Amino acid sequence: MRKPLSHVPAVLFLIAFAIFWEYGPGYFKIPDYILPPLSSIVRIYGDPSTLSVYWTNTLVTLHEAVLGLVIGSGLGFLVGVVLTESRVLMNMMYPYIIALQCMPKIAIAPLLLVWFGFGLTSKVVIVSLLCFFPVLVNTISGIRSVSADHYELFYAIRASRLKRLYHLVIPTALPSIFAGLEVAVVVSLLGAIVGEFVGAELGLGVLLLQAQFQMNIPGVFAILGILALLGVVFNITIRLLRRKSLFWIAGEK
Amino acid sequence: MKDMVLKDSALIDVRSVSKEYDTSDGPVLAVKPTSLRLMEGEFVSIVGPSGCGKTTLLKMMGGLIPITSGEIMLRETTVKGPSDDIGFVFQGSVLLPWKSSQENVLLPIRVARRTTKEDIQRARELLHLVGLENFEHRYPFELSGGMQQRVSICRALIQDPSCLLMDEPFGALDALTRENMNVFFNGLWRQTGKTVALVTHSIQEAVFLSNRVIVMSQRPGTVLDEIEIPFPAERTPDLIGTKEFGELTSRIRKYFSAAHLD
Ligand SMILES: Nc1ncnc2c1ncn2[C@@H]1O[C@H](COP(=O)(O)OP(=O)(O)OP(=O)(O)O)[C@@H](O)[C@H]1O
Ligand SMILES: [Mg+2]
Repeated sequence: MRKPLSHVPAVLFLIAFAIFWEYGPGYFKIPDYILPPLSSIVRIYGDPSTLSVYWTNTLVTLHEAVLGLVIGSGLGFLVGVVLTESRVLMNMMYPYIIALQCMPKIAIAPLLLVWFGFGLTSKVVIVSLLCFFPVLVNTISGIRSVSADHYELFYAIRASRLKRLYHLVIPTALPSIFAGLEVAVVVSLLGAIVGEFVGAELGLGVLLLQAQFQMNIPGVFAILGILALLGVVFNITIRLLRRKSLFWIAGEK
Repeated sequence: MKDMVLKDSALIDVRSVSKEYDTSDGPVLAVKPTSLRLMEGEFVSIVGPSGCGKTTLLKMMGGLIPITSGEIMLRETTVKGPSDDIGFVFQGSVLLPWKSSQENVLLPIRVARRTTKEDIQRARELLHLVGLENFEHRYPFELSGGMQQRVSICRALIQDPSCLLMDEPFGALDALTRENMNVFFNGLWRQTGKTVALVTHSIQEAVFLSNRVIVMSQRPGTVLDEIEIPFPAERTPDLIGTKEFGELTSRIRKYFSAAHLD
């Protein structure tokens, strides 16, 4: 349980940071196109027409990220379960999984754009690919942490494979799977933005490039602010989900 | 309470059974040909130096691991794998931390079929029997070690097996809790009338609970001696202080020269 006043230092820091950002650039004579004062960024959020552009583009990016996250993580989880259930498949695939995992997957984004076009599909594929591996690898290592004693128990009570998966293997792997998901939510936004950088018509990544071309630096910061907010929302969602599902682990309550 | 009349038929009959493990250093003989019988309703303890093959023997009796030679009979049938008629209590309670006491107890049924109202009723009765009537919906992390072990005993009893095989169930408990568990378990045994085989490191526990104590040799283990414990079925802590009790424990202790056992 947090102590009632434990948020105070963080809030004080935020206030100090905001004041410094507002008056620092003027004081140190930093030009606006390098670091605009905070108020010029905040003002953008007050403009309804800009805001509505931001809103439509945010929805596009969000759509790509969430869809890719769900597909990539879902596949990562399923493949992890199937591989650990089959020694042959594991021996066949695992070396390549490790090799692929070490490769900077984002580098194939241009290729995916050629294959899947400038629309939603290419971004979803990029995001899925990025989310797939952390969840896959963590699912496998989580499943490998099931103890021999527990396997023996399930043998003694003559449980089928499916029942064993459901009652033992997946719950045991869950903390590790969540660790993978926490990585996946971060890379999902990353993947969507980079995908949009490489080629897209809509999305926050596109807006970001446009603002940069126009040297609209307050606009760049305003969009970054939205991205940061999205990241925080993603992270909080996963952590709430984790707390709900992992109630039996000390420190989760 | 049931009359503790031991029937004259073997529930489990171990006929010159041996076990060899394959290891990277070649085969290891863990149990050399061993014969023993568990009579219906009997409480037998198995003691022996660490690593002598007690767990191996018990797991073979429960059909959890294959045997290398010999044969094990459960009544008229050969043991080839786990059976609903044998409840196994593992060393350490091996509960599922995400399931409540009641759900842990019901697990053997859940993996076999849908649970019924009667099953749930039975799980509650068992938990009541072991003094956990207010802990049905608690999770393992909310229970003490002794309570967790009692939940795991209920889990072994939920299918109403004729036989309980227990591998050092009280080994992780402190001395006082352990003594309480022994008294409690004696009562449970008398009430349920199960046939019990208990592996233990504690000679005192073995003598206190059993009709018969089987002493195993160093690895490769086999039966060195069987000591009848002539006390009536109901055992109370006073028994431990008596002369006969002391004589029996020291008779067993003589088999262990070094400090292999406590
Ligand atoms: N899975 C296994 N593979 C190889 N060797 C094993 C295996 N299990 C046990 N052994 C060996 O068999 C012998 C008997 O082991 P077992 O666990 O049955 O002993 P134990 O009497 O239960 O010991 P303890 O009192 O310490 O629990 C030991 O020497 C052990 O190293
Ligand atoms: Mg053992």
